[in-house]
Amino acid sequence: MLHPLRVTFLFALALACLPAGHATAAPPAVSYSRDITAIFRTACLGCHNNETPAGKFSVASYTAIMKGGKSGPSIIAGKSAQSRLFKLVSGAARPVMPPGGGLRPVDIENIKTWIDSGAKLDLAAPSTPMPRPVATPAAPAVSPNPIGKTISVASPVACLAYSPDGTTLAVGTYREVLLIDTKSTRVAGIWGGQADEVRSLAYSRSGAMLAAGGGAPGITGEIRLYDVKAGKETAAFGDHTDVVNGVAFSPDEKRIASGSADKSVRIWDIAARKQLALMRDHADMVLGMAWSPDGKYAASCGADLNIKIWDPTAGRRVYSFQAHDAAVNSIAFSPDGKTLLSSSSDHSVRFWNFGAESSGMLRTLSGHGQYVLAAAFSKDGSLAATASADKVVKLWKTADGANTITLTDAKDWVYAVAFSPDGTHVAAGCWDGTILIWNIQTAKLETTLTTLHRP
Amino acid sequence: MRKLCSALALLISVCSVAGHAAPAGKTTLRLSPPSAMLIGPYSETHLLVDSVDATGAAHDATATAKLSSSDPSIASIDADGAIRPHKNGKVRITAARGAQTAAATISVTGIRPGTPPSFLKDVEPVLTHAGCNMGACHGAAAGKGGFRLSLLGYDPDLDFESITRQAGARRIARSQPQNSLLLRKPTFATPHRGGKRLEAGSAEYRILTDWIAAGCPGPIATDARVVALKVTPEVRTLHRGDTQQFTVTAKYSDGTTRDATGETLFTASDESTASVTPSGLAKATGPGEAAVIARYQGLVTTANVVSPFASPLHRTQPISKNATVSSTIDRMVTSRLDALGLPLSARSSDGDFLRRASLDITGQIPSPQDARVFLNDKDPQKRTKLIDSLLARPEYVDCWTRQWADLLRCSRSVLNEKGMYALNSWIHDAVNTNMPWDRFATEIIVSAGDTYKNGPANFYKAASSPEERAEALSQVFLGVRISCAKCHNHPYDRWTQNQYYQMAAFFSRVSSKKGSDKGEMVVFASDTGETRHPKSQKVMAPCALINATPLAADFNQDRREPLAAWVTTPANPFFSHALVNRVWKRMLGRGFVDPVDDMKATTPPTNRALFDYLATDFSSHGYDIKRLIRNICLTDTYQRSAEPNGVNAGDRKFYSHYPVKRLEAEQMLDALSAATGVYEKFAGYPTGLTAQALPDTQTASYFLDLFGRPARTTTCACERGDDPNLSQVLHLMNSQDVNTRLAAKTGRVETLSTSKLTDTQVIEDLYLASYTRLPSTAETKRTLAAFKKAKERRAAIEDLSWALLNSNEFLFCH
Repeated sequence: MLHPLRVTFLFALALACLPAGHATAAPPAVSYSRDITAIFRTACLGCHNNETPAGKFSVASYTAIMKGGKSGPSIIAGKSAQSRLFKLVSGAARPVMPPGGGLRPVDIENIKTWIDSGAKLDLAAPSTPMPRPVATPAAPAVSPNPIGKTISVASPVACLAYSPDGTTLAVGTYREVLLIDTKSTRVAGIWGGQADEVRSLAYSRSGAMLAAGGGAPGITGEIRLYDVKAGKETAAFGDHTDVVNGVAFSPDEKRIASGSADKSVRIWDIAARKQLALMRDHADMVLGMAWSPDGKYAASCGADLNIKIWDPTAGRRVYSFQAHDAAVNSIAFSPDGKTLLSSSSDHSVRFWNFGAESSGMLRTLSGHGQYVLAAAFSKDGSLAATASADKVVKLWKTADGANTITLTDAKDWVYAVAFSPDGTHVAAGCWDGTILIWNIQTAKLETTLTTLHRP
Repeated sequence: MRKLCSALALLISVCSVAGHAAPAGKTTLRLSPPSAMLIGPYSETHLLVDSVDATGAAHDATATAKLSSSDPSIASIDADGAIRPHKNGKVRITAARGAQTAAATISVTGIRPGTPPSFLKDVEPVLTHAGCNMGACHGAAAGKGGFRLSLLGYDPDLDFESITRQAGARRIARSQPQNSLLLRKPTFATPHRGGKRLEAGSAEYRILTDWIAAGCPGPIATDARVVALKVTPEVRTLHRGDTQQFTVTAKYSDGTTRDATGETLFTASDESTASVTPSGLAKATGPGEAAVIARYQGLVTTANVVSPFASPLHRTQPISKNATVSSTIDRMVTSRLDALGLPLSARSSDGDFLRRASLDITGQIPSPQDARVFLNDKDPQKRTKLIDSLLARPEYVDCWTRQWADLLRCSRSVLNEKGMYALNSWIHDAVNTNMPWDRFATEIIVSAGDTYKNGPANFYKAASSPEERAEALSQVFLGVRISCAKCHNHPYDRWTQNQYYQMAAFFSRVSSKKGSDKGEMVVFASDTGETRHPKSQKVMAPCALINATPLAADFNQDRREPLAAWVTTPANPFFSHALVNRVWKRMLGRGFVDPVDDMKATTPPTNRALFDYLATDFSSHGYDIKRLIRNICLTDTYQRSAEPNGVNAGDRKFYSHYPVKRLEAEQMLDALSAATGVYEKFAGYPTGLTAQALPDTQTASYFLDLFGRPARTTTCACERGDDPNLSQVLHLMNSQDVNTRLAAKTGRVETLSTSKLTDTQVIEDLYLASYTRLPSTAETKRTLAAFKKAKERRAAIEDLSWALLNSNEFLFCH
């Protein structure tokens, strides 16, 4: 039994060792990393970013914020009433920021508190770029603040891709990828958790991985990777600042290229989960991405009417040319790597000679009465399929450009088209959410599904 | 006693303060319209509450009355005052203010579950009202951020495609409507450079979400379209600081009407008189008259706010049997001024009248001899006789030739020298013979042949494409600017892009070939040639702007003949008005519509009744320009002093006094020459040719360019500038132009200083030469004193002349 005095002593000692409670630093009332970046990212970063800093002021990092803009420093630590940034968001100075007044009173209050308490940084480094909602396998992110209830309406199909072994047809739609079993022509599985509409799909050469490009428009762009055998998502890259419209695996499956509405083309190392190159050359949204079969080049196409050829290893543009008179919506390499196929909103489809010696246009296919939204090669390269806003899918012989089949079963804009690897079928996806699969031999529609179908 | 007095004083002051806003006597409340229909769940209506006083005058009480619904489950009143329906039925809306009430009935029909919003009727107006499709944003030619809408919604098919299907359908989320980019951006849930434009949960927001949820139904051919707009009240008199709520009703092609107040774009034509909020609440900010402009779905209409300068007057005489054109003009001007409470200025002095009439009619100032004769003349008819004699002068012909030559781009750099002379001499002949204006226009429109021999054919050299010709014709002869409608419907007027190309189609079969002379062009009507709509590539049938049907498809004559016929018929409301506006502006300083060649639906004339009267008078009396000028000059209105009279100093629009106008460039140079007796020698022309008589504006003259001479590169009256600048002031003070004239051995200064005239006579002569008046006793006294102090008499005379030339009284027409 302990002596009472010792107990008291031990007790006092224990007390003294307890955390001092209020004496240790409490987390700050308003934190830069938690609260301020959230406000700035939604309300300010759109116009005040490093690429296009309105008023020469960017909020993309703490350094940038504290640097100020063409009107001088934006923040005077400790003095919100004198800080230009606070004056503009609180309405004390004009013009009111953001335009139209999108901040809630609690946001303005938080900014005030943060400035008055010293405008402190609590991130690793002051130049750390503003954190973005990044999807990771551990915490698959959804669209930042998705709004409203869902209703039972078939969402548009923006892309589709056959697995190399032909057993699965992956269909990209709103917030999910449908995996259709080609034998039973039924939806066999759903890969959900996408941020918004899935805009491009690509299988790696062996079929081990499926990549889905998408993102929340105007906010972020993401590429998610799916392990086909394991049946689950394994990686995600979320650095783009607008939706990813085109993804393409390198033939050796080690890298993946993405083209985005944020005008950039990026190359990623899949295993290292790292961005290898960020290439800015397109003057407008990038709409399609392809990787040459020999692995040496990547090609992108965009709303700036151009096709650009890149060296993905060196991370630079190799060639650029105006391919059409309107936006170029899709780009594909022929299986032998010698030809490029592009489709455009100028209603035409073009074949280009892709070679060291002479590059040039080989052929223009006209025949669609409206924007041509997608074009694809068959696996053996002998046929091409085109899909258009005129609700028609056409098949062409690549050798002479002859239009062999015209399929008119679609009832709305056709956004995507793909050949089955065995060359027997062609599938297309439409604005009204229908997935159509035709038999090429008979030129007849065999299967109609919608994006509402569940397994 | 003191207590009683102060109480009385208090009572009186309370009554007089209240007196202005709420006249004593019985006031009643009135709700309008007394009954309204709401069709469909997305319609709404706004009721106006008026407080009607004992005199019958109505004052806006919309903001202060309280509205309530007899059954909010059928229709209820929102915070913004809009009445919105919920289910079919009838309700009674009661307005209450103090003890007064008024009521109106609202019937709700057409509420059926599952009826989606209409793209044309419901969605487009939301996009316009929220500002999505304005020219600064997505309505720009290239759109913004890759998203393009038609300007103010003139092309709903394009808008529908852009929103629902373009860019991979990224703007809508069909299965989660509120998460659509179309909604996230304007509510600022996603960063948006256009800022916050919509409130989440508002009626407009709900229209968009319901529309997406219904599958984005598009516009269909049988959709009813807006055919007319009405603003209520149509006119309202307000005192400064008073407010008035306006409502707008749209009438559709299927006969239905709908309250469009909530989606109308409201602007004011003159913010110095009235301002208007985006929700249609106007406020009188100053005296005058302003239009409240309402734009909705491609239509524009206006209502008037009248804010008197002072209490209304009652001077207008009744219509008399012996009314002349001039007396009618005066009566109509005075009637307008009565309503505005504007006093009239006094009659001008004889000297002022002589000077201004000479400048306005002949472009020259009178000589001192002419001035003396006129000032001494005791004939009570002398002003009338003066007008007639001025109209008979060759300088009148030069002056008015120059005006039309400006508009028809008579310039050697445009037409080559021979073409310029051909056009100029044709215009000169036309003015000299007082060619009726309809014939003048017709000869130009149907002209053909060699431009070096046929003056009017140069119209087709100055404007070379059908589009340019249509624009030039419209601006010069119709006073209407259609160029905005080349790329989209005119945002401020009624003209559509279709109408633009239909006008251009009149000129698509006018060809030209080289003439025998170098640079000569031969204009001829050809058999082939079409104008196509730039977007649809459809062949456009020629059709005039208004009150006209398209030419038959098999019409194979010269298309310009029916065009000229339409231009000059009374069915065309613009032709006479345009000319009257130009002449009125020249004489009275400000046209009925300003700018003078921009008569839009959104710029109402300063005196519509008078404008219409003069236009009808002009077209029914042979389109006689001299007669028009004469009738205007004979009016009291024209002969009033430029000196303001009390409150009318603020009047710049209603003609209560003559305006003060800076001399035009040619007038100023000629006046300088005449006052100093030293005439300009223009290169290539004999001495004595006035600046005004120069056939084009390419003759080098720093002076003329400095004072705003137009280069004649456009058909716009605005090309002639009258903006002041420092160079002008310095030039008049120090230039060689002025100094050589003062020092010249052949000028007036020299003549006066070497003559036998006394100092007083010299001073008088200089005043008459510059100001067209005799100096006052005080002026003579002051000047004589200055002469005495001068070392050299000639220098004193020079100084006086210089001082007179550098004063406003010389440089302005008054």
